[in-house]
Amino acid sequence: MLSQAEGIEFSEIQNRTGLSKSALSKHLTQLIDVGHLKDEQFVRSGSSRLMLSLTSQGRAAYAGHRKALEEILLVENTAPSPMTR
Amino acid sequence: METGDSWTKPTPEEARELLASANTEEHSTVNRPVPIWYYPVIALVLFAISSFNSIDEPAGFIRVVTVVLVLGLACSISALVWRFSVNQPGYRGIHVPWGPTIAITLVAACFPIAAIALDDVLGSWVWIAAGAALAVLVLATGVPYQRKSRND
Repeated sequence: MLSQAEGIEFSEIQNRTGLSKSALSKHLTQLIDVGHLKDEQFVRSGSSRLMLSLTSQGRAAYAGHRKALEEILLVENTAPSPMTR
Repeated sequence: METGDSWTKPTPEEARELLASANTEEHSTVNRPVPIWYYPVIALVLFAISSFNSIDEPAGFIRVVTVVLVLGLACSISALVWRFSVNQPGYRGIHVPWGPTIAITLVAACFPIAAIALDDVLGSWVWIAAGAALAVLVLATGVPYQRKSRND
């Protein structure tokens, strides 16, 4: 979801994934630690919020994963069918 | 699939499911739900802007009021689009799908352009017709989008 926006708030990610705060925090912290994600505190409507966004490394990693998955499908689609001889 | 420290290559079926899931999430980020009144209001404002242009040679105070109203309505559309399509709360910098956006903008631009071209030939009523046609276009494309984005 983060690949299509410059940033998404923690609460919105939690809302969309259905994960608990602690579970989501754990996942996001792992991604921040490896440099795929960055976080930024800001204030909106008087309350402190957390904005998450992909780093350039994270975007490259996501693009790489997508490409790898597409290649798996490409290999499957181009492999000769056992029926065609 | 990733399992702890080990990694096994996804099967084609798993790859298909992962890509479908990724596509769904990307789609849900770009196509955020908008309020049910959003497209009807935009259609109505566009119709109003177009209809103001049908006033034959407004003069003096009426001209000033007309210009102010048209500019105000145009700004209100910009504010609505910014608030509900580009910069929704919880999101920053949603990526705009430029291809479809430019395409629909060019189609929409044809209506006022046609009105400009036909105004002197057919009369100023063409502005009302163009505004009505543009409003129908907005509703025809926007309402199904609004329903789909709310169901996703």
